[in-house]
Amino acid sequence: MSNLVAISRSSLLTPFNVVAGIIVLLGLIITFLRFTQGLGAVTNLSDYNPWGLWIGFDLLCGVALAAGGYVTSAAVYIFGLKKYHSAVRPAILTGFLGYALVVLALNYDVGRPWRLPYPFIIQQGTTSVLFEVGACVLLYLIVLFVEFTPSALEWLGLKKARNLILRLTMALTFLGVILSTLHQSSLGALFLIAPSKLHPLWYSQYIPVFFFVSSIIAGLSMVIFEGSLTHRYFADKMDAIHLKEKEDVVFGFGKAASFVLAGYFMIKVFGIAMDNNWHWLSTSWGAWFLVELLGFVALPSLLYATGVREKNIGLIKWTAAWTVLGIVVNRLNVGLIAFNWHLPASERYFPHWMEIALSLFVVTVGLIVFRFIVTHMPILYEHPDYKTPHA
Amino acid sequence: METGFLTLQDFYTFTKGVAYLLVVVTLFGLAGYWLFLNGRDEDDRE
Amino acid sequence: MTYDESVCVGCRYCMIACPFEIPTYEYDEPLSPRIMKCTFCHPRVTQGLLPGCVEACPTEALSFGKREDMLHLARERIRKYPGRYVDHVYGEHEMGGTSWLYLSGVPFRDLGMREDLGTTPAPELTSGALATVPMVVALWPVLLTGIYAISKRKEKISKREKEEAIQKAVKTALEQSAKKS
Repeated sequence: MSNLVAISRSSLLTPFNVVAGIIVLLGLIITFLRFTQGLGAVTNLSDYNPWGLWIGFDLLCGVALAAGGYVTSAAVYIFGLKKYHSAVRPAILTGFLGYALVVLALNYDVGRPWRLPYPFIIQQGTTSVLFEVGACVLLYLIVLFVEFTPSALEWLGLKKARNLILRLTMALTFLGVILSTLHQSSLGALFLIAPSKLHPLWYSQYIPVFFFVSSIIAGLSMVIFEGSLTHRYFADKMDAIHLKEKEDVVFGFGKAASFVLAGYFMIKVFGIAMDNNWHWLSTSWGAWFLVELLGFVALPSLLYATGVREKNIGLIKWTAAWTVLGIVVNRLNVGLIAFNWHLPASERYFPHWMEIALSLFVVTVGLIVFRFIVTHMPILYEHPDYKTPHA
Repeated sequence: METGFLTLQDFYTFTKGVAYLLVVVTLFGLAGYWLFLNGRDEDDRE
Repeated sequence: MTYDESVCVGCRYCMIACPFEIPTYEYDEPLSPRIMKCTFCHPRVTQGLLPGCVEACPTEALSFGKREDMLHLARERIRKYPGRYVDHVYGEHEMGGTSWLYLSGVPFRDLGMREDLGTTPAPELTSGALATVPMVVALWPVLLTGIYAISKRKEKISKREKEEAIQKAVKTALEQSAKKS
C-alpha cells in the first residue's frame, strides 16, 4: 500500500509539471504586478509602440493558429470529407482553447479589461475594424465552446443535452466558417489604418486576403503538427479509428496545405506587383521579406508536395511545424517587426522579459487544460456509450 | 512614386500590365502544380 | 476631436491609427489608464473660453477659431510675410485635413513632421475592408450551402451506385449457380 502512495507522489513531479509550475508561478506574480503597477511596469510598450508581444503573438498568432477548428469542421461537414472525422474534435478543442487564451491575454493587454464588453453593450464604434474583430471573435468563441461541449457532456453522461447540441453541428459549422472568414481577414485589416507605419512590402490592400488565406494554411498545418504531438504524448488515449485515420489526415491536409501555400505565394507576388513595390526587394527589408516568402511559403509548399508524392509522413510533419513557425513569423512581421520600420533604433520595440514570460504563461495554461481534457474526455477516442457506426 | 512614371495613367498601365502577365503565369502554374502534387498517385494507380 | 474616458477600454488602437503619433497613454496607471491628447480644452471651449494655450500665448503664435477662418488667417500671414514662411499650411490637406494647422519658417520635415502621409482620410483606409463584411455574411451561406448540397448529393449517388453494383453481382452469382445445377 505505502509503495503505491510513494509512486503516485513522485509521478506528479514530471519535467513538464515542474517547468509548467514555475511558469505558472511567474505568471501569477506578473499578473499581480500588472494590475498593481500598470502596463509600464511589466512591458516595454511606449507611445510609439502601443501594441507589443501580447498583441503580436498572443492575439495575432493565437487566432491564426486556432484556425484548425473551422478548417477541419468545414472539410468534414461541408465538403463531406468523412475520412478526416477523427481530426474534428482535437481541432475544435485546439480552436476553443486557442481563442479562450486570446481572451485571457487580452485581459492583460487592454487598459481596463472589465470594460471588454463595452463595445457590445455600452457604445458601438461601428466605423472601427476592431469593433468587428471583437464582435466576431466573441461570437466565434461561443460557437467553438458549443462545438466543444458534446465531448464534455459525454464525459459527464448527459446524453440528452449532448444529442441536442449535436443537432446544431451544421449550423455551427456554417457560422464558424463565416465568422472565421470575417475576423481572420479583419485582424489583417486592422493594419490598413497605418500605411505610414507598416513597411510597403507588408502593407497592401490585400492584407485581409493574406491573413484569411494564411489562416487556412495555419489551420491545416496546426492539425498535422498538433496531431503529431498528441500521437507522441497521448497515443494511449487514441482509439483504433483515430490511429487508422491519422495517416489520411496527414496526407490529405498536407496536400491541401501545399496547394493553398502555392496560391498564397502568388497572391503575395500580386501584392507587390499591384503597387509596383519590386524595388523594395533589393533592400535589407526586401531580403527579410524574401526569407518569409521563399523560406516560409514557397519552401514548405514544395516540401509538403514532396512529402505527399513520396508518401513521407515524417517530412510532412516537419514541414507542418516549419509552416506554423512561418505563420508566427508573418504575424510578428506585420505586427511588430515591419511595423514602425521607419523609426530610429532607439524607439523600436523589443519585448520586456516579463512580456515573454506572461505569453509563456498563457500558452502553458492552455497546455495544462488541453492535457486535462484530452486525458479525461472523448477527444482522441470515442466514448463507449456513444460509438458511431463506421464503414 | 517611381521616378519613371509621369502620370497615374502610366503607373496603372505598367502595374496592370505586369498583373495580367502574372495572371497567365498563375493559371498555368497552379494547374501544373496540382498535377505535380497528384503525380505519384496517378503513377501508383497504373 | 475629444476623448470620452468613460467608455475607453484601453485597446490603444487609436495610437496605432494616428499617423502623427499624437495620443499618449498612461502606462503607469494600473486600473484607470487614460489616453492623453489635445482636445482644444473642450470644457473651456463649450463655455465660450479659449483653449488654455491659446489664451496664454503672448505673441498669438497660437490662434483658435473656425477652421475656414484659421485657414484664411494662415494664408493671409503667408501672403503678407512671404519671406518668413514656407508656403504651405500643414494640416490643410494632410490625411484629408486636420484640426491642428501649422505654419513654419523651416521645412516641416526638419521639425519632425512627416510630409509623406498623403491626403486620404483615415476612415477611408479601412472603409473598403469593412464594406466587404455584409458581402461575406450574405454570400457565404449561399456558397457553403451549395457545396454542402453538392457533396451530399454525390454521397447519395455513390451509395446508390454501390448498392446497385452489389445487387447486380448477387444476381449474376445466383444466375451462374442456377445454371450449374
